[in-house]
Amino acid sequence: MLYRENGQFKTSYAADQQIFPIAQDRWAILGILVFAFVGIPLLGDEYLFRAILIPFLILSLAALGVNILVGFCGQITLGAGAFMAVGAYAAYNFHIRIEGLPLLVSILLGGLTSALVGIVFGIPSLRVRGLYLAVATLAAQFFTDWVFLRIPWFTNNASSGSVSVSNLQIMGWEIATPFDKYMFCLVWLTISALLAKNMTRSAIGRQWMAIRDMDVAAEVIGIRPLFAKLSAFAVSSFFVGTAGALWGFIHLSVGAGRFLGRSFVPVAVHGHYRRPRLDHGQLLRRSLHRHAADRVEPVSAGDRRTVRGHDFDGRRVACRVDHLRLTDHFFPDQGAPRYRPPVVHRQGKTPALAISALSRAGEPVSLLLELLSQTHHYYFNKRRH
Amino acid sequence: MGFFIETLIGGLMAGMLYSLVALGFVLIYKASGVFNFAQGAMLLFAALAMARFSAWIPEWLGIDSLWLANVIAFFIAGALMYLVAWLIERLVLRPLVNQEGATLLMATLGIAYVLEGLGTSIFGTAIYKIDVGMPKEPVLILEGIFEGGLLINKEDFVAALIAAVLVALLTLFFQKTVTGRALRAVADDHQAAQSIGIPLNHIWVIVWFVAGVVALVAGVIWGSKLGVQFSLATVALRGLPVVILGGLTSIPGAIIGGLIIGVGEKLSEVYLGPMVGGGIEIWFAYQLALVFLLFRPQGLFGEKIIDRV
Amino acid sequence: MSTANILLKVNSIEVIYNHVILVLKGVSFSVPEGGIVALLGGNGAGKTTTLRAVSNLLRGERGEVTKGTIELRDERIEALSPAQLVKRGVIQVMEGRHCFAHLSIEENLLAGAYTRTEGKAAIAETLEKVYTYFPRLKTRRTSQAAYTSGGEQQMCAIGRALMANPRMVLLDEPSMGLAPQIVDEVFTIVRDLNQKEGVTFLLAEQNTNMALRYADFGYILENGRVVMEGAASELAANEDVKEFYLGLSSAGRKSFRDVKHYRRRKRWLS
Repeated sequence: MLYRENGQFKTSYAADQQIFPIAQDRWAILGILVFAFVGIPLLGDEYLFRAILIPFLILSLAALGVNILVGFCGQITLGAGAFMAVGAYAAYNFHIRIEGLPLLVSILLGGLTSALVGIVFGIPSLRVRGLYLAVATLAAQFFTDWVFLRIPWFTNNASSGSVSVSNLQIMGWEIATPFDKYMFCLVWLTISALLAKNMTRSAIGRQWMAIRDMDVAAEVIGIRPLFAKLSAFAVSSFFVGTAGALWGFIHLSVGAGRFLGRSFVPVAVHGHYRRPRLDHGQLLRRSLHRHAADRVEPVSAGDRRTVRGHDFDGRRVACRVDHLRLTDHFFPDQGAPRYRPPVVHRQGKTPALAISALSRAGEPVSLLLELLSQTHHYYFNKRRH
Repeated sequence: MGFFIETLIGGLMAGMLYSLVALGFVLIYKASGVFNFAQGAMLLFAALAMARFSAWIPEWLGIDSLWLANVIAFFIAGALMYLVAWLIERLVLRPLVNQEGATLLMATLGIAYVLEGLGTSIFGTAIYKIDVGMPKEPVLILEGIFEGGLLINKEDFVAALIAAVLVALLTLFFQKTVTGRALRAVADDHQAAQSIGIPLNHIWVIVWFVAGVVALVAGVIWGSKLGVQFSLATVALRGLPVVILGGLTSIPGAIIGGLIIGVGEKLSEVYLGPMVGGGIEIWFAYQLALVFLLFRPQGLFGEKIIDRV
Repeated sequence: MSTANILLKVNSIEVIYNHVILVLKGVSFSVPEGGIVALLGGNGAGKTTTLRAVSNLLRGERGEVTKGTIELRDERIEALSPAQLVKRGVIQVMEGRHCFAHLSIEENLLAGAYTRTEGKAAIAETLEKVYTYFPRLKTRRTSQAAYTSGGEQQMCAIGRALMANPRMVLLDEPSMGLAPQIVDEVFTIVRDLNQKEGVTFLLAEQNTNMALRYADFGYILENGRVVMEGAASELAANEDVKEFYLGLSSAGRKSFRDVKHYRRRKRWLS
């Protein structure tokens, strides 16, 4: 603690029950809010909004959800990325499938869907605890990942598995510029934080904390673990889901929107691991670097002829594998890796383009892999410089 | 029938390899109560060290023998893992003594990032190969019994054998030696172990080093299979369902869990996969583990979570 | 107490937790070789902290000895690690038993011999000795410690400490959560060990009655200070001790309205 709460006595119930009973907290929060609403708009430029602050706000919202589940209810979860994806895709589907559905409602519905899915994946928590649960929640991660990749209905048959929405509007307010988006996310986050804070101070919040501190003892004093745990999962997934919806609608709707397909799922997971002091740009880069190579996987094990992956623009790439036996998951090529010189530079294309070109030509997988690895290298270094 | 058995055997062997990864988790969890998310990073780091040193040593020392170069590289990589273990104990575990499991878990995530960054900046980011003379070519066996015979991958077979030996040694170490007993004691209760004179710091260095060696062996095997590169760290993700299925505290659990997951994955991919569009192995592994957990929340062989209110 | 053969001497130590919380405000006492010394006092008096300061287990709790000295046979021991201290023959049995839950009773005991270097035969001999003192443990030797009763766990914890062949055992609240009969049993064994094996005991207890019956000498702690000391028999006979710690008084039950009582109590707490 940086400061002490000594000497701050409360003389009325209202003072005792206020959200931030300690003066320093009150002023700090107020200061941060003023800075966020007034200071940053005066200082920030477009790049700052787009590349740093908007993802920062959205991931903060996701962190809020994770905080409720892990911090208040003590259920360690690694599945936050999955719920973000669910929220994003659900919001997207509501938005495009129901004509004229307001943006706000779509995002809320996305959050609600995520909450429902959260409850389903939260059921194991009634039986499985601690680290076992943490790993079990990864099941949600891999499962949703697979679902959104394999079932084209969710992505509205978009060939890339990525979706985007344009023309965002709320009650006549056109959210177009990065500044608008920043303000929208900020307002959303502030309201969510207020809701979350109040929830944790209420009866349900105390139930969560009792479960966290010792679930057996909590059960003995009459708290229903079923309700407490699942409600924590639902509330947490709701916030995480809305964060996913915002990510899809607000952050990536233009340009880089194609990332939504899959890449942001690991980003979110990483985000919550490293909540304090994140550099999100770096984070994104890291996860790209890390998750690109295993994007290549056999599409169908039955004949195992085609291998499909994603290049860095989120496009699907596919190529045929003829003489290789696929007995392993990570890399379909069982033989020794081939060390060909990278084709990339010779052709003078960006690696991603080269991959698409090559994969259409039906090059063997090892080459594709080589290229993918070159691609990270290319992106990694290029962005760093 | 032949195809089924082939898949089965493939699954068992893949399972042995998963066990090897899972073993690293179990070791550290057993002895220090830390769920080590850095296991994948350690594996990557060890494999990178092995790959690079086995390439550098012939250059530096002018040794022609690949075998000798590999042995030297293995020991250097081992020494490096000892250094890593020592540093982790000094810089991370010691200040965090008596903290909660979740805190330590988050700390290991930090270790993972540092190790990955360190590994790739020291050793580079290209794909390297480890050539320890693993037999590459598959063989056909039992051609008389099954039509077309069974295709067995020799490399997998050798790897499974190595894994089995390592596991047997570790089990003996934990159950029969004084140090092993002390390791289990520390896992149960840090403070009590300290109070009877077991030096925690020393124990932690030992166990992280042992886990480092396991990571090295796993790294060499996986690395010679797949090539050494960044994504090797994600091999750990395949170990996770194995660990929870087998039980976080059980070495035999890691083995049986590995075998179950390996077989389950392969069979599901081959027989269920085509119905739903394939690519289901990874989540199937997790779901399989989850189903087992519903019946035994501490994994198949894990120690019961004993609570006294 | 005679000055001869002082095994442990604690000189006005001050202990601060977390750099903020002052728990011991200058505690001094000494333990003679072969004696049983009891530290008495209510909750939060600082008994456990004192023991932890001696055994150097404070660091794990973010505590620190900031002033004063602790000497074992004239050697300063504040900077030693718990393991080094065990090698010098001082071992703590922690409050609340702390058995290794997933190890069997026998494994628990054997783990206690970790610091011994004389070889297997000597350890086996000590194990037999522990079993003769605690015959109950022998019958439960293969069961997991977590599934044994509280009394058995306490015995296991003491036995485990004995496996290190200590000269001095710091025993923290051995009576906690145990039935009176079991407490009696545990204390009888402690006295046996003291008399037959010559093990010195430093005992922290809330159960003043029981502790004074078995100890030779006692110190009463309140609020991190020693407020009274004396031979166990003297303490047991002291009117104030009787009233505040043994729950007895000459005039039967006292009323809280009794002002005199309040004043006398106040003297203790200031």
